[in-house]
Amino acid sequence: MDLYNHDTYGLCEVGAPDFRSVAQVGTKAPEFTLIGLDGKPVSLKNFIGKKHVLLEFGSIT
Amino acid sequence: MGEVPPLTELYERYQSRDFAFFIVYVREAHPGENFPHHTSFEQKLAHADKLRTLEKVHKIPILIDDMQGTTHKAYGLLPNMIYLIDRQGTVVYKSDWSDAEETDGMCASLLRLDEMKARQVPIIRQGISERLHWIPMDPAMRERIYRRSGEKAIQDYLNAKGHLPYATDDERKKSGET
Repeated sequence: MDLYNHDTYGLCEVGAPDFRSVAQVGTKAPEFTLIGLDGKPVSLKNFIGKKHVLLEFGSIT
Repeated sequence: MGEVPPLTELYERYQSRDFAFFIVYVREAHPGENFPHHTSFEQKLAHADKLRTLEKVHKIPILIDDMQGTTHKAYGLLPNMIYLIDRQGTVVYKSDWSDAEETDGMCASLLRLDEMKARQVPIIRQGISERLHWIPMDPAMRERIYRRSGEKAIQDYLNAKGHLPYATDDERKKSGET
């Protein structure tokens, strides 16, 4: 069973870390390379030394 | 996710001042008949595009996490998180629930830092602050979001929490939530 892509809201905390224990303030942000809706990849490392980055996580529901 | 119009306002205010804003599309928090859980990346992409039209995300770029939620997990796995990362790649602000007003204050704080550096103002040290915040309940808005997902999402929430996702304080008290 795919625990990440759960089909029931009640399973959302399975495997979840303590929010305050990951990607802590004052530490290096976890690197990522993600595809945009335009199909182009975006990497955090490309902004280092250039821009501040704001990430908002979300879904439709 | 958080409300898009206030975030878009921040984007308008800061994007020309060396800020890059992104929305990271992750798993569906409340899968239902209309928006079921993801079973393929193609479906996840299609959902992300639907998010763009439903929430009118016309300016802020949407990035799509992989099927395993690698980035979502690395940042804490919650549905409405917000992070601000400075240009050195350091996390300077994180919140478990997006709040545009608070985020505005933090963006302004980074701008002040940029100005201090430009003026070569000496900095004594890097400080840290912590705070609690309170997430408001808007039953009408919540009902709209959950109905969008479908009856299954509402039933799942009721099963997990013992009250409807758009219950008022009084209704939650009646259901015995502490």
